Amino acid sequence: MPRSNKKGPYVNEKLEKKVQAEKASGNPRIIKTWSRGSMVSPDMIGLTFAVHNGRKFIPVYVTEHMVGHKLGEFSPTRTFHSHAGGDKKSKMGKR
Amino acid sequence: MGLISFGKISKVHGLAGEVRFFPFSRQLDNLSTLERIFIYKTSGGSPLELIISKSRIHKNSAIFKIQGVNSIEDAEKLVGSIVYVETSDLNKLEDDEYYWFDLIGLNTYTDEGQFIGVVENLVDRSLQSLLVVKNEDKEYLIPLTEPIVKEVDLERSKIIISPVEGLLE
Repeated sequence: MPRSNKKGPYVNEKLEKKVQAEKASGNPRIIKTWSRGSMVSPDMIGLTFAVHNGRKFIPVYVTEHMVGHKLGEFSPTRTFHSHAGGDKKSKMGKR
Repeated sequence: MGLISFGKISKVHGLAGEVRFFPFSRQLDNLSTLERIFIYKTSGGSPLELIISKSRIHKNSAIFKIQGVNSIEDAEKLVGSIVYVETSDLNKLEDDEYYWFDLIGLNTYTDEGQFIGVVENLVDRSLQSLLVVKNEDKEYLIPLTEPIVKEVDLERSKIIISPVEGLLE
């Protein structure tokens, strides 16, 4: 169910304060958060979050493609075990 | 280069000796260009090269016609075999794309020269993959993304990262 446009995006208040503080510091640290429901805002681009998945923190480097999504989307709670091997490939993320 | 496990022959297809092949990666990019595969008849023996005379993609698998396999009886002997391919036979990737088998086993260092561990695995996610780097004591997850991963040097088996403070805790 999408959040009402009237209410605006949800970002946890404490998380927002941390984001502002890390941006102001000039040398941002990783930001630990349990707030999986917070939406990625443009302020967060370039910061690295450690988003809790119920068991451990998963590091997420925020890029502009992630804006509008929720932090929890990048920290999966279930592990998919596929067959080892094969021609799996990954692309290096861009800023 | 070397052989990597690529998929499995799951069953025969039709009566003319065709077989159905499932790739482990669930990616179909390399299937249409592949011209040869290898299987091991006995464990520890040398691999047997099979030439693909015809191939076509069917749903999330491929149908192979293998040279010299012309009957359902011959094809049945291949069912269940793990298929290996030569890494040099796979498609070349773009500059910023890497096969997992190339990345696994690389030594990871910080830009200050500190050894972090060896890439044991990767976690695939839609927008950002993660390197699973392990040393004797700890496991680290490192996003495979440009400002954090500075350099991937396949020739020297080395990845250089610039970790933000707190990433390696």
